[in-house]
Amino acid sequence: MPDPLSFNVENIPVWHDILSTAYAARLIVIGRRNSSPEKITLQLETSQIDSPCLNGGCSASLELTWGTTYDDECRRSEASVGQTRLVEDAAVGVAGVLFPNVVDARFVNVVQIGDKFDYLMGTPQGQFGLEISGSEKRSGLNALHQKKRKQLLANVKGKDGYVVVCGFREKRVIFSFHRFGEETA
Amino acid sequence: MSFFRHDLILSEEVNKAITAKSRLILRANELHETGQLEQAREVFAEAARHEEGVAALLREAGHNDDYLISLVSAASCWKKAGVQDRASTLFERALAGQISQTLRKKVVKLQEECSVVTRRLENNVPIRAARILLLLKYCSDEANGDAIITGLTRLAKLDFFLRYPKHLMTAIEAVVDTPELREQFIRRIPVEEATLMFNKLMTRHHFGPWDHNYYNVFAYLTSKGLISVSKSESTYVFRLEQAGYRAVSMLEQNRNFDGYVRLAQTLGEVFGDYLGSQLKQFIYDHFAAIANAKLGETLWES
Repeated sequence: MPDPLSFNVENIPVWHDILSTAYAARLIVIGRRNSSPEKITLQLETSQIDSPCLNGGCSASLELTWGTTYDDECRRSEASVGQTRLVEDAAVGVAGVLFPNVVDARFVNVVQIGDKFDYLMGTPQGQFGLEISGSEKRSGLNALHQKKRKQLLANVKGKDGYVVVCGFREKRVIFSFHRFGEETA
Repeated sequence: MSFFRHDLILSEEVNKAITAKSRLILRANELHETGQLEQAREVFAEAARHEEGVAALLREAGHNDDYLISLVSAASCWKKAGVQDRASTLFERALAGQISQTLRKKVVKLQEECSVVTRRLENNVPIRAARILLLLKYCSDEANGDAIITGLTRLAKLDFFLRYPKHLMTAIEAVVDTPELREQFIRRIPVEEATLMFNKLMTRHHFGPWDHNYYNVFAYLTSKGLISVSKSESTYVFRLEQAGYRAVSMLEQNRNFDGYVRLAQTLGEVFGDYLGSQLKQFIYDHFAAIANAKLGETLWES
């Protein structure tokens, strides 16, 4: 069994200029709720992701750890943020770990289109879209991935991009790359 | 290493601006989703200003696709901030550019939503009335202390500068010779707040900027006993009545009208002794876009 990919989520704001500590805190809240006080291990399944971390494969064990640095922020988040938002932000936190550690990219730009905001990722190869979602349901992660993939492929910016969906109860993450214009069926 | 694609190498300045506005957008959405709507609107307005700055930098650098996305983002932020007319202008600008069909569909819908709200606000008589009351108090053409404005043209042109503070700044630059005084006046102008003002847009009419709601507003003010309107030969004379003074006093104590009060004071000091015909000519001489606008065309501030 290969060693898991292990990362401390407290580094998320260090890796990404635009992500505040709130994302790390919310990932910790959801991680504690679904796993243990100090870590959560998720099964990472990838598609079209080329990364030295994966040793040519397409799956790995992703171990996310944390300390007590963000405990105050965690309490604030639990008190003030709705459940759906907590889970979605925790998923952004997971994406904040996958980038730049599994794929060399950063959150570089957020644009507001109507009522929604979209993330844009910067990589040495170019700028890409990103769709993220999280769930605490017992199943349904594959369907959620399909839904987010369709959304990505209909993005108004016409950019290729990544999809990250996290099932915190299923303990799975699906991480994929898609070309704008690829089959959506 | 730059994390933008090779054909989008941006300066440090642009990257910093993008980072700053991205943080603001995330913050504004967070506030909105946690129910802090008033603060969310303020942060969306700040994000919109930043995003407009980013858009300008991207256009300058020749990155047209990204400029248009940024423009739509700025418009969306203004819409979320409740500044529908600014949002509408920027959506229109984006639609004039080469954007994808998917984005175009969304922008058309967003623009229509703004227009509906703008049209609804268009009928907001009290805001217009408040501006007229402030003009009467601060821009009176009577030296004896009465608050009077003589002539519809004079009133409309003063109202124009109250609604378009950036143009007032330009006017001050042109009119006030003393540098210290000029600086003092310009410092008073709330350009930032001005973008948040409601019902500010005027249209080009026969003698320059005009608001087709004026007659409704005068009827409203007269019916409330706030002003009286009389005619001296063929010229309308507008006079602030006692109830009007009390209303102005309430406006002066209302924080939301701070910007308008400062503008009206400045306007009175700079253009207090200009006749309507002089103001009209001044606008034609200094604002070519207005002079050259077609009859009925909406006058945008920038």
